[in-house]
Amino acid sequence: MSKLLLEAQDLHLSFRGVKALVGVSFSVSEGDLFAVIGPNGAGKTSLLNVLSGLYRPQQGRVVFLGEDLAGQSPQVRVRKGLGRTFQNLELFRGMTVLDNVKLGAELAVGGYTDLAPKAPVEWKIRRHAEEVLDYLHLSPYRHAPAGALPYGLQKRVEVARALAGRPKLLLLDEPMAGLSLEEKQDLARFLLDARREWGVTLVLVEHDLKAVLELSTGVLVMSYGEVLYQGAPAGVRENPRVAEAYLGRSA
Amino acid sequence: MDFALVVQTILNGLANGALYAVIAAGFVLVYRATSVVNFAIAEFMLIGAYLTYTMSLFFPLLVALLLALPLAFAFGVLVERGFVRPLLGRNVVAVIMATIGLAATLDGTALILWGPDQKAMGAADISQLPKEMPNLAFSMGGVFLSSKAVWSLILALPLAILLVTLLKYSRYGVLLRAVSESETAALAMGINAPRVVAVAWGISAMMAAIGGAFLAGAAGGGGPGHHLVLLGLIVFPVAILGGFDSVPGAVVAGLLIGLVEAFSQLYLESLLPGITQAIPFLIVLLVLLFRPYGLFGQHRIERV
Repeated sequence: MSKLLLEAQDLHLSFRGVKALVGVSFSVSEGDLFAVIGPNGAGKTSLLNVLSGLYRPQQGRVVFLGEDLAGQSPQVRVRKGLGRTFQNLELFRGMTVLDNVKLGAELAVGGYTDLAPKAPVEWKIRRHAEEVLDYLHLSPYRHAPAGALPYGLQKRVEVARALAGRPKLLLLDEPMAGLSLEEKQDLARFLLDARREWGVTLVLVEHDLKAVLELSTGVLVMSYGEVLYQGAPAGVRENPRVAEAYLGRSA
Repeated sequence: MDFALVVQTILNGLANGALYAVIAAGFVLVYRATSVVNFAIAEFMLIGAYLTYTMSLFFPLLVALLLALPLAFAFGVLVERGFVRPLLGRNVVAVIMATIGLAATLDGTALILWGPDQKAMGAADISQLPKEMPNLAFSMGGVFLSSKAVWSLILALPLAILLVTLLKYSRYGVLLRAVSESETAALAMGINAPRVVAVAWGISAMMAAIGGAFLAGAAGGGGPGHHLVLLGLIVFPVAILGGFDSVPGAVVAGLLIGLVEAFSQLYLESLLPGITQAIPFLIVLLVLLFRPYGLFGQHRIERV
């Protein structure tokens, strides 16, 4: 039994009567590749925003590494090892790919608050960033402005930036959306490699059921803010509620 | 053409322009960090100048200015925390209207606290002589520079350049750029974005205080008064000429407008009285017509 990393307990979130999350509970263990799936509007991104601290749930707790995260700001959660990427790209578009990844790497190396960069720390950050770029085959683009890259590469840069922070757990918000099949396969391979190499636990939000079922170790299916299914990926297709809410309609 | 006179005009123009540069650089800094156009920038100058004045009642002027800076910084942070932060994520127009409201509120507050009359630095009432900075006036080869001009050249100009350098090369500059590009992403990188933004407002208020304290004296009368609010309008032509989102641009534009004003004062004022005050705004019209992104602004690609 591996260590429990993240626990969501009975999360409720609503916006003026619109219920985004209704009693969502699940847990992620170290080394998992945990998939959160559901149709559009199921509350997947709301769930990530609650986990990363951008939204405050009306009820329920988020426990990370045995610690209740209530009241902790997004930046503090990130520093504790809870990284994330965004569905709609949130790159520093005017900066180069390298600078983007370096800002991520600062987290791992120990972000420094000095006004002027110290050479050894700067050197470490740079080396770390280059390593991640190399790993994700982004080195050729390191000096290109991030905003000028094609969409698929921008997605990869965002993953690189998040991975450079060496998070213990990385929340990925639809990293595959809008990618070609080939790019999807590449990204899936990078993520699996990162998980094996650096021991990053992954929480993957997707609406593409097929893409994740083969990869994941655990699945949470959501619809209209409610949990329809939680468990092994193999059981998803047999579950009648999932079939009705998700597979049945989209087929 | 009188060579000494031209040199003197250039130096005076740069001296005044350095003040514009300092104020506009702070204004643009806030715009870059938060996309908020601070219409209360003139009031920031006013409050800063009044803080300097209050300090100057107890200390020599230079010390008073240095003491007023942390107060101005705190004031800027306070405005951000209490006034701008709650409007985060609202409509741009709402935030603009709010800063206009803030301007009116600060005007009134200054009026209540310091009264309607123009002050002289360090003088509690008109019977006292105003305090001055140590006299640095000099004249060489027919070029005469007032003490105030020298002070603004050796204080404001390096300060503006320092800010630009810090933004380009320091960690804070990188963090600020990150926050200005995407606050959400900055948070996801563990950057304390709220603090970065608050510091930007603090620095902006500090720069405005320096500019305000100097401009108050430069306009005659030797101290702060509500005429500063009108003088503060110069920030907008300077920022627009500089490109509105470029701090170096604001500095260059400030110096340019200072120079243009000085030469207009010298050559045009006798032909067209009042033209000097209008010229910065004429420049703005031309800039907006022919080069809307100013000297150093980002060219935005509009997708229709």
